[in-house]
Amino acid sequence: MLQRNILRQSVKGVRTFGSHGPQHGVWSNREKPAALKLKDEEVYRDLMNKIEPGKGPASIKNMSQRWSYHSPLLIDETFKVAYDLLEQESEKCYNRIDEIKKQLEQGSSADSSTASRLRDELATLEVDAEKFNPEVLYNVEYFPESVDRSLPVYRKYLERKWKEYDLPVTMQRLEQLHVIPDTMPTLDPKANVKVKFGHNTEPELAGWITPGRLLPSFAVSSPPTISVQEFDGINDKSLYSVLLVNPDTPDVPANSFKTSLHYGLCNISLNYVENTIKPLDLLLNPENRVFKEYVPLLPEKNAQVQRACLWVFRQEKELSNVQFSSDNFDIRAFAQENALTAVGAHVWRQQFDRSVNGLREKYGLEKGRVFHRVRRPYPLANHDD
Amino acid sequence: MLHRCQGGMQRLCEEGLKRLGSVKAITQIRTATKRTSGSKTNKNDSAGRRLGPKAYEGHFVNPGQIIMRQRGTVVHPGENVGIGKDHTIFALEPGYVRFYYNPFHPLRKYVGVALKKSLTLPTPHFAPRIRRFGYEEILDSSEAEKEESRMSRKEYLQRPKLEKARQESEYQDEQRLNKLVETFKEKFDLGLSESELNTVSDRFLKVCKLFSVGSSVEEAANQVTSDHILSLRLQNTNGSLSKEDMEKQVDAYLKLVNKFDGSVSVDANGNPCEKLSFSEKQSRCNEVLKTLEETYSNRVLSDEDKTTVYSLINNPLLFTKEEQTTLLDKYLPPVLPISVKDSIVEDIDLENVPNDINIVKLFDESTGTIKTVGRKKQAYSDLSKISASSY
Amino acid sequence: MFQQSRKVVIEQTGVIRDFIRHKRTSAISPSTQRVVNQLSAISATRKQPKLINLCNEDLIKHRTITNAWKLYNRKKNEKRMATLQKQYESIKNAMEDLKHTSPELYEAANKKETEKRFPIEMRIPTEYPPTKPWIYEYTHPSEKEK
Repeated sequence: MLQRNILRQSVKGVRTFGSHGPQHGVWSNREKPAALKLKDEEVYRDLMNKIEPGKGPASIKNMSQRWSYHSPLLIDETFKVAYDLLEQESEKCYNRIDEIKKQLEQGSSADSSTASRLRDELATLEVDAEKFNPEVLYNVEYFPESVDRSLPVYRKYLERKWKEYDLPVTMQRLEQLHVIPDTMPTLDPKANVKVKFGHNTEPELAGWITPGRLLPSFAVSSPPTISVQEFDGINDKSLYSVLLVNPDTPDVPANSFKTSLHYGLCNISLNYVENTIKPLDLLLNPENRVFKEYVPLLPEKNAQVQRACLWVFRQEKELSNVQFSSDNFDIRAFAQENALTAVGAHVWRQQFDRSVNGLREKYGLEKGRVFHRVRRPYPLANHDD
Repeated sequence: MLHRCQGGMQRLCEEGLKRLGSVKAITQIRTATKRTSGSKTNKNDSAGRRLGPKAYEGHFVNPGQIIMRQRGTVVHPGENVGIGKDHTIFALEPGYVRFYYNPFHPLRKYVGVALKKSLTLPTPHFAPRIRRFGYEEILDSSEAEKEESRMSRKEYLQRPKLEKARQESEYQDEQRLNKLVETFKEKFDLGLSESELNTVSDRFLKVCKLFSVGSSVEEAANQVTSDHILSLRLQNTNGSLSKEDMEKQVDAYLKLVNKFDGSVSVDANGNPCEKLSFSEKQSRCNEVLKTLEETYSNRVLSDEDKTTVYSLINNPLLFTKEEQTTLLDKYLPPVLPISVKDSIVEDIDLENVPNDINIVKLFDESTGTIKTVGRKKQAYSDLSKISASSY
Repeated sequence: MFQQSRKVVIEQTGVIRDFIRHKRTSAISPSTQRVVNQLSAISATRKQPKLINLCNEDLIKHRTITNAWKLYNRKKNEKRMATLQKQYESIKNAMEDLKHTSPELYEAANKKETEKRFPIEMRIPTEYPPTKPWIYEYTHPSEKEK
């Protein structure tokens, strides 16, 4: 990034490296978003041209390694041919895109099925036109955090990445910890839901929480930052609800468990780029968005490990005056009443530790009960009806 | 022997028949094949093993009660039951025995325990599980306190160590806080009162800590603000702070934060520094990089030059730690690359090597041979020595 | 005792298991089975293809080349399949035509010629007929020597 600035000055922002001709093709010449281009000029130079054996590629940070790097034989010649072929293909896609756009403009009053078909085709073409662009590949491979999520091609690659690792891990934890079906019946995952507690200063607790982790109570003492990354099929006015429930709240009279609500958000507006729910934002403007203030799970002594299940729902319409009982919460009924569709979930676990009592005091809760550590064989309260 | 006997018998019979003339007699000979004393192969019978169900459909069972004894899994363990090493099935929860088929394994028989009489098994696939809590509340307050303070062996043994670490970090925080207050008083003209200075220093310390675990300065600042507001809110809900007071304090804090964050930022070493605008920072970075590129690259540097380069790069205001290491590696590498021509002395008398020259063997890629050349000692740089000399 | 009979459950799930008296044997040959066994004994990491240590730029170049090669092959295949489809359609049309215009000729064209053997040396199905399409007086090379 720093070296780039120098080069910018020397070449005045014009990409004229080497002899071979991306200058003439659709990928370099066309007026397109800067997010599709490679930011680092030096890396761009090495990607498009031969890497000189003595100098080495700009991506290797260690200098002695960089100077001793050798490219495979004939890779540049082959790359040139491959690039030209793919660029021609992309040009065809762009021509078709222009055609479709013209058709859509002209025939806006034409029948809706044709228009929707054309729009679908446009969506796939927008991905196809850029999916083989080496600059796009480089950006998504090495800077996945900073790519522009408003572009469908990056979203497609991010979705693929999510489905390769993060999604299977989340689904495994949700199933093995019986979040499904103890809270919601099942989940058709659409969004990548990540959770972090930003106040933690310990390196092992800072950063995104792996689903299913056992967290100490002090690590969850203030409301979480939640990231909901959607990949397809939403508009700018999409609204989301977030529920944090504990299905393991002891129900002593029934000798069983009940579900309690610990955090309730609704009417959260999110899109592809603005995808994070930040606690400060909610604290300063809570109206009509926070229907249940955050109270961390504070398990009582010997009440065993409890699951904090965080569900993210897509709303059909804006909600107002939501009815709920936070002590005995029925998440299924709540979702049905308010027409909520689950798009993602997250789970972490907690148990009693020495930080629980302090937090109970801080949150104005009464002192927790203490259970005997031996589990008794008594059946459910109403077992014989 | 037997044959002979038989033969003898036959002869006698024939003779007898000849003498008797017309009398016809049929003789059947049965020899002994069964030993009278019996044999060991027949003694393999044992008593019945008393296998089979010990509790039937709908019976109430307690945890640990045996439901089925079997050889192999004639019946598989279903919900709320366990299986022993001899495939004995026993209850894990109190409830009613149910024998059933599971649609996911339609060829197996299952036995399970339903926690309620009205429930059937298997429980529907998408329905929430019915679970038993089973723990009793301790109502006696002294007993409860005793149980609550009870520790596992691991926790008990770790406690002194944890306590020591906590005290240590508290002490260090206090030291840092005092230092920060002094720095803000002396080096920054903020125009804040004593209590405001303390608030701001505390905030800065928290931001620094969050910054050191990888969040950006802005993110960290927002987090600290939100934590502060939350604690004020909670004080209000607990009743220790009235609503007006809380709102007043929140406003005052937000104002203070605005003023403070506009003038002070965190540098790469986690120390307070003057806040630079993005464009100003960029231009200063570019200036330094330009100097480095134009005057200090691709040549052998003298010791003074090295110190200059080091101090140029080691600027926590402009470069992050990562950028600093990258730049140091580029402009002050342990050994200069061979492409720097003036670091190499080609024709050298191996018998009589000058003091400021190292003899090295280099691989020449174009000819594929190894050649011996001299390299100036100044082509080598030791970062630890340079950093020591620059202070 | 059981609320649903086994038969009902089996019918619902559609699992059928035929009874056989002898030991169940696998369909693959013993030599294949041996290879499978040998491979199963080798650890999974050793069966992975070896990774070439490329720098980021070269890795992206390599991927681009792979993408282009896949695209090239796909197009080639599509083109070939389209031609074959066309050829087949035209053969079919011609035969249909013949069926209507001259049933006798159609019969004659479809007549089985039992004596004429398919040249057994011709092993690979080719796209185009050879210059000498059919050797009617075919003799096997070994017969020729005699």
